[in-house]
Amino acid sequence: MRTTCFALIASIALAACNDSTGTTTGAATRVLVLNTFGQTGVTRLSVDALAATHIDFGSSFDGATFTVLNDSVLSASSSFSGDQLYIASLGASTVTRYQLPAGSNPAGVAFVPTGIGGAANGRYIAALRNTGSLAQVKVQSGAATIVTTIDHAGTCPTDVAFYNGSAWVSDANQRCSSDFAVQGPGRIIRVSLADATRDTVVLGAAAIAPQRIIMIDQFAYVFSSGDFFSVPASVTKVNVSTKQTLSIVSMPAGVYGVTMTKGEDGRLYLSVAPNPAPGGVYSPRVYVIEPSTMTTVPPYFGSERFRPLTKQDGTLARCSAATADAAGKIFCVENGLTTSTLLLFTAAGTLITSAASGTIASDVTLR
Amino acid sequence: MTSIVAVVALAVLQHAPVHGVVRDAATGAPVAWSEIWTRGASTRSDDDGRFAIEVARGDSIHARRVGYRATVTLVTADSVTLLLEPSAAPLREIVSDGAVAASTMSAMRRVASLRESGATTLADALTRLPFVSSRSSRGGVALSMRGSRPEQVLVLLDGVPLNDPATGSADISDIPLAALASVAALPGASGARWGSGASGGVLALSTADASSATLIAGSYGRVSASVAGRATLGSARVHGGAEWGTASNEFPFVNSVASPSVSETRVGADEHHLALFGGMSAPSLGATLLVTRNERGLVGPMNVRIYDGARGRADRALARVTGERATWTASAALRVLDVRYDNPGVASSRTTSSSVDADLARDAARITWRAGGGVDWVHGSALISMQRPRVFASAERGWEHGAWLVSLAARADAVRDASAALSPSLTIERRDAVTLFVRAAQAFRAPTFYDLYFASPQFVNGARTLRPERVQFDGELGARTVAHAVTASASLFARRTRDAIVWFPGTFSWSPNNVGRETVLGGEGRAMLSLPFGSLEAWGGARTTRLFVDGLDAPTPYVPWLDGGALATVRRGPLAVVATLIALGPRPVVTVPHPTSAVELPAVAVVDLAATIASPINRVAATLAVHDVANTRWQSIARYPMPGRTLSASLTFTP
Repeated sequence: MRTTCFALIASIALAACNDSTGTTTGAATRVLVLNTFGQTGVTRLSVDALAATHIDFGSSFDGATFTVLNDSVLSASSSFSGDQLYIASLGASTVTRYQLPAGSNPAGVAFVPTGIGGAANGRYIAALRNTGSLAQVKVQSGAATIVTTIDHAGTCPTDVAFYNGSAWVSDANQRCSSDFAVQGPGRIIRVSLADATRDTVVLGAAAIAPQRIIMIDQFAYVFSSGDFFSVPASVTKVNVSTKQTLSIVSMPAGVYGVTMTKGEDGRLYLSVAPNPAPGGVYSPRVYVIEPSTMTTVPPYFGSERFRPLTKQDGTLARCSAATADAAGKIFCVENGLTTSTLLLFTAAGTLITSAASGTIASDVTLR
Repeated sequence: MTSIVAVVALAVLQHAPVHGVVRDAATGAPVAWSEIWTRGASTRSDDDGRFAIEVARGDSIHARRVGYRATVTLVTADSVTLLLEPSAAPLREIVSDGAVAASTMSAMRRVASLRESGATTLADALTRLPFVSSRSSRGGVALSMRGSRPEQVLVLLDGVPLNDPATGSADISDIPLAALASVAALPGASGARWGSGASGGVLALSTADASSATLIAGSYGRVSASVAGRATLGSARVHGGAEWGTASNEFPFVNSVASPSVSETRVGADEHHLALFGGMSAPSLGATLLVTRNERGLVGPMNVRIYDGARGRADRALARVTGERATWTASAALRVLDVRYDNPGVASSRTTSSSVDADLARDAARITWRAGGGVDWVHGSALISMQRPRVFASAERGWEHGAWLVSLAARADAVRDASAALSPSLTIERRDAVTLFVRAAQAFRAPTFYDLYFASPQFVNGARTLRPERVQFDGELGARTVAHAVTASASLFARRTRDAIVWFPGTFSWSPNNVGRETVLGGEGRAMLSLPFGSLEAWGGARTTRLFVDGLDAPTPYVPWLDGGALATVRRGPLAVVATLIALGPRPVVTVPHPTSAVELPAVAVVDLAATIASPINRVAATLAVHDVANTRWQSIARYPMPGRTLSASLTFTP
């Protein structure tokens, strides 16, 4: 047990030193879990002590993803919970809400990079699914917060990331305000914050309903959930400099996408789940993709290509979201009916430890 | 000495007027139009169940009404209470408006007294009913009894379930108050009598057959009018009526979810309803009919705009016929509930649920036998059409020996997709100055159509993925006493449920799951004091609900650990003033272990005041009421604002 704890502490410390945000704080290294139902908010885990603290977002929060930069956590509630941007301060353990356009149905959020007047100046951006636009929020100390919308950001913008001064939006291209009917292949759209220029890259018929976009250098990695019927989840790699689709990795047939994160090892961690059979259990699995080659990374579970993340009782973990540290150790959040558990695995899939991570969770990251 | 005995005997046998009241033994409600007869006279009970008849002391008095078992009582005093047991009902009596004897804990309110306390709708009325917790959002009402979930409360109108087979719960917001004579809460599992769904308790609504006309006006555009009349045709009495109402519900509130908070006016929560009701009662035939249309705006929680344009319409039709011949009672019922939802540009749906039921009961060898069956159909625009047949058989018997009263019942139900279930019950009571009672029962709840569909939408007609919810034990131990002007009762109760069907958030939508164990432990009490100038009543309850899930236990949402109420009535001549207090402790709004205050609604106390002045000459009563006197603006469901202090005025004419 002592050996396990030591290994865990070592891995966390290593993760801290390789924090992609460049904001390592040594002993402050933590796992952050987004609790999206119940006692909502952010649960911070000091995994070495297996202890958790919680910043409560209140009963009107239902965000599914979050973005973390330095000391700030960014997320948004949907139109079913009031269309609000949530900014939590990890240092002060506080949360502030900002009103986004009513009925706009926010999804993915991002910090506007410093280079274009971003986070240092309190600028944030949110993808608004129901209005096909982005909301730009400028929080000013001592002055009123300014919320402006940027139109023509797609049929159903779901996430946003920045490259070279422009926002790149993943567009699910669905009727997100009503029946989610697919209107065509997924797209990513370059949205200039300075003018009305747009560039659209169509991802192809194998990329249905993009949900997340992660930028690594000039490449955008777009995670699509699929349509639950004929098109499975996929990841598409796009060179945003040339605006060309380079490659796509599709998940097995009958599998839909839950979410995707970027690990500190630079790899993409996909949570995808097969449609449950009658009486079956929702069982999302983790696929690891090397972005440079767009190939899945072993070890695999039998003939499948997902990681064999095996719990103590011998069953496979059901990871609603997963990420990894620089050493490839995998942090997975598994949901019960009301609570979630953080499971830490070796890269090979052996359970190292676990800890309660609050109520139902939908995202995880390292800080 | 002989002459003295003769005089006494003569006095005993001499016919003299006896006054009495006929009550429903299950609910305590007065039974109007029941036949009462002796060897030489007969009469009928009036709207209050009261009667007067010439009868000798020591002689017997008979009473009967269709739908009830006939009763015979020995006359030993100038007044008598006749308790009519509904056909095949277990022996249950209640503490009601008056000081009627009780076995298990129950409470009944007459609609007349509810109106006097300021209630203008049935939803209003239920907030004043002991042992029932109600909450409301988007115009609908959800009920809880003894820590139950809404779908564990069975709501009956003259014995016909109002619960929607699609969802399992009953929304009573469309039931017109004008159609009702009384409302009764019967906490505890009653599976032996009512079958599936009667796990937490039964809310029994009894229809009226009186003549009246009522006009109501209130804050935020609330207006309603009702009229009811009746006619006697030979030995039969027919009645009918209508109620219409509307309300804009455009009240100001502070949107505290917005950042920063902002003052707004609630828009899109308007209501409009129309109801037609009627029935008949003949010596061997009875009928109930109800048709309602309820349309309303379905604006969402504060700060949620996506429902601003949402509207709903519910149409309900219900008919029941009961006939008797010798020791046989037969009844048949038809129910249709059509629910439409339309949120332009977002979503629309329509679900139609229909049920037919028939049952046959017979009293034989001191045992009441009952058997029946029915079919439920659900057709939804977003669902697969489904149907489900069900059958049942039950037997029950009561024994009375000295001070002891014992009732034993058992019912077997078989429901497609929910296998079979046996629901026994046993009640033992020892009557004395302080009457003690103990009750134990089992019950079950079949998965609803929604449960089955959302558990496995692609395979709803295939593999069964949900087990029926099983109340393994529901018991209580209590006492009651009636002494002088005081009536008091209290009980401790416990319920343990296996495979509770509870909805939890999935990845993309909520879905139902069987949860291994759910327990409820608690106590309830009620006391009434009759005073020369009025009455004082107080009730309260405490309970813990524990749903064992994920290795932890979570309390049931919206069930307070502690709640209670009080009702004070002062009468002086034609004036009656009623003050009502309802108090609720903190209650969680989601199913999570150890909820913090961030996901709890705070404790609240709400006071209503009402004054009624009645003119006995022209039979007109006027009521002026102030609701939420302290303007607490509490929330019964999280983030749904309430109007705070409101006024209502009503005028009732009773010919």
